[in-house]
Order: sequence, then structure tokens, then C-alpha cells
Amino acid sequence: MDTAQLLKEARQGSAAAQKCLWDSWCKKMMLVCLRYLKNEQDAEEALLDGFYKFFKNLQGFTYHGDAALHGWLKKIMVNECLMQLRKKNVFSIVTESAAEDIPLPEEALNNLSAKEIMALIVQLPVGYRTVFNLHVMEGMEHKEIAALLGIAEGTSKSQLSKAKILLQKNLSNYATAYAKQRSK
Amino acid sequence: MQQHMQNNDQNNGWKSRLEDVNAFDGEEIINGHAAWDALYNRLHKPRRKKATWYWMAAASIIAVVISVFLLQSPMNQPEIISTQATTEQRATVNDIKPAPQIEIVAISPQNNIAAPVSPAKKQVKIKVIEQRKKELTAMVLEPVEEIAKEIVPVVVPGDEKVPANEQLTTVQVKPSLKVVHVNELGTDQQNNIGRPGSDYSVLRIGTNNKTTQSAGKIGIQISTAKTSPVN
Repeated sequence: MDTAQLLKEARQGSAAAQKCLWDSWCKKMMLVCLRYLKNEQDAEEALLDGFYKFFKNLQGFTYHGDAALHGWLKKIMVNECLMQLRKKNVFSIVTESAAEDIPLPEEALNNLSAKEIMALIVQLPVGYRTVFNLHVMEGMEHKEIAALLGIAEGTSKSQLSKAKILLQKNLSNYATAYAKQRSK
Repeated sequence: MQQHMQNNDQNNGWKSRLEDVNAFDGEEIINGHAAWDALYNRLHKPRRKKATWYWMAAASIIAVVISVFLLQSPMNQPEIISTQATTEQRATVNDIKPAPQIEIVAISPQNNIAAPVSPAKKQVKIKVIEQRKKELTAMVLEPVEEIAKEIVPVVVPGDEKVPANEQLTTVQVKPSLKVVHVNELGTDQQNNIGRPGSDYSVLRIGTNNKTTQSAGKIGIQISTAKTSPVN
């Protein structure tokens, strides 16, 4: 059954159609939640809340393809994750002046597996991680991030540069550890 | 330009890998069935939370009504007292102080052990309790007749219709005499010999011979004689 038909039936309250949509999107969305929330239980809670809102507000969604559905679902999940973070009062972003733009170690990241990249991102402190995810992964501008998190634009930039520095550092540490392991 | 495009592709490479479920093979990202069950329950089963809220609302309304009722009833009492206080009789009634309440403290052996009282405090407490007991016994031993005599019914002009509940309070209590049956009565001598320690009035009924002879009518003399205990 195609996604449009599934969405139509899910709108009418069909549990079977909802289950199909859940099965096809839950893992992808869980990966999004895990990037923002370290704890698996918190990520699962955000995922359930997100899907609950998705199914409840399905009436207002018009299907224009899988990419649109993916984008909408992702947006819901990111919002839920941010709400979870706010609820737990884990945001400790200190206002700082804008830092210089530091490039991402793309080559090094490309050499790593998905699990390893995920582990590196999760290791970042919550403030760095959130800004990094929003800017690098979701492609949001610093202005948008600042408005969403209630921080200054400069703070968002400095958080991102610090996140990149830390990521580079962790990458180099990881590379040396990997080299040592190989030499043994 | 070509380099920039290549960079973007590389960037998208590791990014897309992060969102690819197949890249995390061998690792259970989520227990889909359990999570779906939880979501299904939230979506399709009626939540009991609402019902509990309704019950709580109903209970709170009942509690409010009861508390209002309880608060109003003691507030009505002062009005009755104020109407009664318009007469002197009510004033005398009000003068009679209620018996002081003696605080009865049940002292269990456990309590005794747990909270030892200093001897000085204990003595003071005993004294206070004894004083209260004396006051209470004094109040109790006061004859009812005396209290009743003090209550004098006063009719307030223009207030002839006294409610039934107020009438009850103004009834004068008369000292009742002991009723003795006619057969129990004997001669004067016998009558004079009262029961030791008794203190009651005897109703004597007899015929006056003189009166019957002269007037041909039966006269009844009623006299009361108080017997005194024989020493």
C-alpha cells in the first residue's frame, strides 16, 4: 500500500494504517531523537510523544511525497527533543562572543562508520550538541537557532565553533587510539 | 565549483549515513513492538485520567458544600443568642457558666516511657486538674432547685408569642413533694414517728367531727406535717 493511502486511512483512525506508518518511520526518527538526547529512554519518550502528535494532527497535513513527510516528522521529533531538554533544564548555554568559523573534519568523518560518528556527536556537551545538530544536521541558520533556544546569535555561533573544536579533538584521540590498537 | 560540489557530497555522505537505518545493522535501535503498544494505548484506549479528574472535581464540590454548611451552622448560633440576650432572663441563663472541660489525658505505659515529665511540671498539672475537678463538683452539687429559682420568666412587651423552643427554657422547675398513698397514713402518733433519716412531707386527710355535727357536712382538713427523725 502506498504512503498516501496509508495516511488517508490513518487520518480516519485505522490502527493498522498507523502501525504501518510507525513501522516504516520509527527507526529513522529514533536515530534523530538519539542525536539530541543521550538517554535512550528520553529519546523513546520524545519519539512516542512526536508520533502521538503526528497522528493527532494528521488532518492538517497534505502529502506531497515521502521527502515532505520525512521533513515534517523530523521537525516534530526535533521539537519534542528540545522540549524534553527544556523540561530537564539541561540547557546551560553561557552567553559568549562569536567565535571564528572552524571547518568540520569532513574527511575524517567520512572514514568513520555511522555508529562511530553517532558516538562522537553524543559525547559532546548538551549545548554544543544541540547547536551542532540544529546547524549541521538540520541546516538551520544561527538566527533561527537563537530564536528557538532563546539565546543570542553570537552564542549560537560560538557554541558551534566549540562543538567543532571538541569534535576534532575527539576525532584525533579516536584516530590515535585506533592506530595504537592496529599496531598491537 | 567542482570541489565545492564534491565537499557537499562528502558532507551528505556522513550525514546521510547517520540517518540510514541500515548503517546501524546489528544494533537494535528501538523495540518497535513495545513502543507501538504504548503508542496504541495512548491513541486508541480511553484515558482513565479524565475519569479520575471528574471524580476529583465531584469530590471537591461535595467537600466545599459540606464545609460551607458546617461554617454556616455555627454562624447562625450567635443570632439566637443575641435574640435571647434581649431579656434579663436570658442574661441570667447566660450567667451560668458551663462546666469547665477537664482534659482527660490517657497515659499509656509506652507514652510514659517515651516522654518523661519532670516532677515539678507533673505537680503543677495535678494541681490544675484537682482544681478543675473541685470546680466541676461544685457546679454539679449545686441544687437544681436553686438554679431553677434563678430563672425567672420575663415576658417582653410586644413579644407575647414565644417560640416553643424558648418556652422550654423559661419553665420554672418546682420542687416536687413525695406522694404518699392514703392507706399508708396512720394515726397522729404513727405519723409523728417518721422514718429515721427521712425528710418528707406527709399529706394528712381526716374528718372534722365538730363540723359534721353542726353543719351536717363533711369537712376535709388538709395539713402538712413534717416528720423529723427520731433520735
